[in-house]
Amino acid sequence: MSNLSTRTLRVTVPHAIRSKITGGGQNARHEKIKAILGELFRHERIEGYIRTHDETRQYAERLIELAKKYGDQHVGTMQLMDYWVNDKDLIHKVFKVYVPRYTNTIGPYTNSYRLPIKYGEFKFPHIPRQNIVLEMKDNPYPRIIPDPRNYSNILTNVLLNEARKEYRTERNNRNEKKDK
Amino acid sequence: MLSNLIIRYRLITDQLIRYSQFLFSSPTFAFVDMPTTTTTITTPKSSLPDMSILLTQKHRATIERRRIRRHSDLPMSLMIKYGTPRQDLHQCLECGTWHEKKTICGNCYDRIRKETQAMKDSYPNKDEFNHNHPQQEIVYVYKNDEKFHDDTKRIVEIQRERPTWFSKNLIPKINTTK
Ligand SMILES: [Zn+2]
Repeated sequence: MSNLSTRTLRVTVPHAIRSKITGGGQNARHEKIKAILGELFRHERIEGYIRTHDETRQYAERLIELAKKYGDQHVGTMQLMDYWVNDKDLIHKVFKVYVPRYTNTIGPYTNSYRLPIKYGEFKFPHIPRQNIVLEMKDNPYPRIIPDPRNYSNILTNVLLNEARKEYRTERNNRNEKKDK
Repeated sequence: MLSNLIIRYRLITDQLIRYSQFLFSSPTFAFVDMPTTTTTITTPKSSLPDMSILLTQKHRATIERRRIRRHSDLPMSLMIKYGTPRQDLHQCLECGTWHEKKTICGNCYDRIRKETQAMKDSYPNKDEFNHNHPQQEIVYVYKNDEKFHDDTKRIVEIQRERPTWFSKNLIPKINTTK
């Protein structure tokens, strides 16, 4: 496994203590991550608790990076895929859908946004529980961040554009007079 | 602090209820001698003492401590804790509701969540989606969209019109008209 190497991850690594994300030791933690990975690869947009889902995000990035670099004929990559992905139909999806989709993208292949906190609805109401929404990039669902707006018709922008045009014409006239 | 108190309170109540089964007769036995014709069921009085005494503080806080709590500028002061307005709230540009600075707008996300769920539900074969996932890109085509045929993509037709806020080009360009 030491031969496998990729670039550094392009996502933020959470500061939470990893062994405290789930109870039950390393096996339970791996089971939790496998479950969330399968859900993410299948549905392409999921919601959940920030600790577990931000942790799972790194594993998804790493698996896709390895799949892009080595392909499906490599032994170590396929062993890792076999370990981390429970449903075996999703391994085909990684190589046939995600790898062609992300051939030209460099950066992270997932997005995560923080959902609004619902205060007082959980078991311990004084501890706010932060949930996030995790998604694969370029999915067919509607975008979460709204479309960029067109601000060129706002009054201040119109006035600034006119002032800029006047300034340029005056400067050009001055330079022409100097040249003569 | 408060969490520790609540956890300790629950533990003590559980232990007391468990021990009271050995010490006193269980309160469910009170129903045995009662006539069955009575329609109103009166709950038996609890044999346990009032538990609210466990939540009180053990020692009286000193006057210095109390005055710090009331009047100081420290974050433990109640006036500072509940009296300062929050500066990390933003107003959404789309709908105008307030949300925290680090989160996305919840009101706008609700309709996106509903639309996503509706798109997922419109997939015809649930078993195929959940157990034998299609090895192609899934494209959702609305009623008023242009219809196209592509063998390399899985096309799912939705019998609705495309919402106005859901623009068709998925990759946005900066400084474009809406
Ligand atoms: Zn909004």
